[in-house]
Amino acid sequence: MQSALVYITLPGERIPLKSLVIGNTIKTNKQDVNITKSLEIETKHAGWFWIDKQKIAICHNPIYYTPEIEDYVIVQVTGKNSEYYFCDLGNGLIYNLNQMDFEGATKKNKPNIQIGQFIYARVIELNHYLKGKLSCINPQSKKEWTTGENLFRELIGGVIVDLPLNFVQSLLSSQTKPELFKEISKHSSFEVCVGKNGRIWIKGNDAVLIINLLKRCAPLQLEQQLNLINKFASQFQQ
Amino acid sequence: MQKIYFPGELIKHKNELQSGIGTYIKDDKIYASMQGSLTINEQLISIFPSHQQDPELKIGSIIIGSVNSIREDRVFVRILKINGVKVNNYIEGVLRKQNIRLHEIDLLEMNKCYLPGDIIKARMISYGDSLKLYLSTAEDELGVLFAKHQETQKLMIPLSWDEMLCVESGLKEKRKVAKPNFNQLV
Repeated sequence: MQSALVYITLPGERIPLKSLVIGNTIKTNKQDVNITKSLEIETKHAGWFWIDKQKIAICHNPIYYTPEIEDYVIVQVTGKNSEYYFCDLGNGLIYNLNQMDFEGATKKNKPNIQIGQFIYARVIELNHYLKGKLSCINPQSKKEWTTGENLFRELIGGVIVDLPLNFVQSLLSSQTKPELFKEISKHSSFEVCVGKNGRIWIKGNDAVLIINLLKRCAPLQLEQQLNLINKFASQFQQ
Repeated sequence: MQKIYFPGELIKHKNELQSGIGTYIKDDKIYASMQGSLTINEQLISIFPSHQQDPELKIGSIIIGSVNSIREDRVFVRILKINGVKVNNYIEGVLRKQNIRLHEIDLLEMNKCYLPGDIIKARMISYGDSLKLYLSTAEDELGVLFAKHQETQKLMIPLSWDEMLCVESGLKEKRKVAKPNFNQLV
């Protein structure tokens, strides 16, 4: 079976493993699915059952973020080594970021990031027993870190907020167009960065107002979100 | 019952007596250095140990152990058997990244070679400087003997130099596997 199965599950259902296995290696998401002693998959949540070449999981509204390779995340620096930065993803995991992993960095010319700053990076490697790895090198452009125009860099100034995961991941999926931010940009100018682990960074004069609007917009539908922004059109300063 | 001497305890004043196994001389007196009972044999004082001693470790002896924890560049191993003889105490060894295999040491990934809980066969190469010994698995017949599959928690058996097969579910995982001895099966 090549395509993804579309199947709704309730918690506590059992499916035998041999009917599902594609290839010879599987990875299960431990938050969603258990494997019992008699080799059956037992579901933990209600949602859409997802099976792929790489993993078995359930799509629902999770509380904690489970990382995958080639995700773009906003991380906070909690410690420093002679070789690595220790970065916090926000769900209890700490990942490594090599100090030389910036474009055009040498031993004498590398960025000096303090503890407590925020960085926009992408996930390279996952590991259960060792710490995973991040990187700030953009494979599509060759701008050096000194210019400050690279996509993955330290975030200076601005405000950061934590939002529910399903709202942030729907902003990033390719099916919905960024109409919410286009509507805000008619009234004021700002700079925004969205991380897949549920964090958003906004820089500008109206940053605090935009963040409070986003917090209220999270449980609403798209039309209601646009109406809410138009109500506050007079409050923007720019 | 005979009296049991503890390490550091005074036995006798040295009067033309000689010290044997388990004793030492300091300031003309004989003290005990092992826990055990006293035996005197023609002016030779020695101590018979009250618990089993560890088997003898030499450079090049084969070791069977279990993996405690892993890091990016080294593996910490608890030693269970030395040359086929069971070990009663807690001894640790260290397996460094350059001693795991002979080819392509730079491209080695630790989670595809050893994971905590595996049982491995290794060879001792040096005594080291602190409490840990140095081990090596850079041969065909050294490596992982048994392991547990991460998802199903069932036993795995060797399939090739690189892969192990879970018996009940048919799933594979990567390890650095030891070559089994085919002559014993015939």
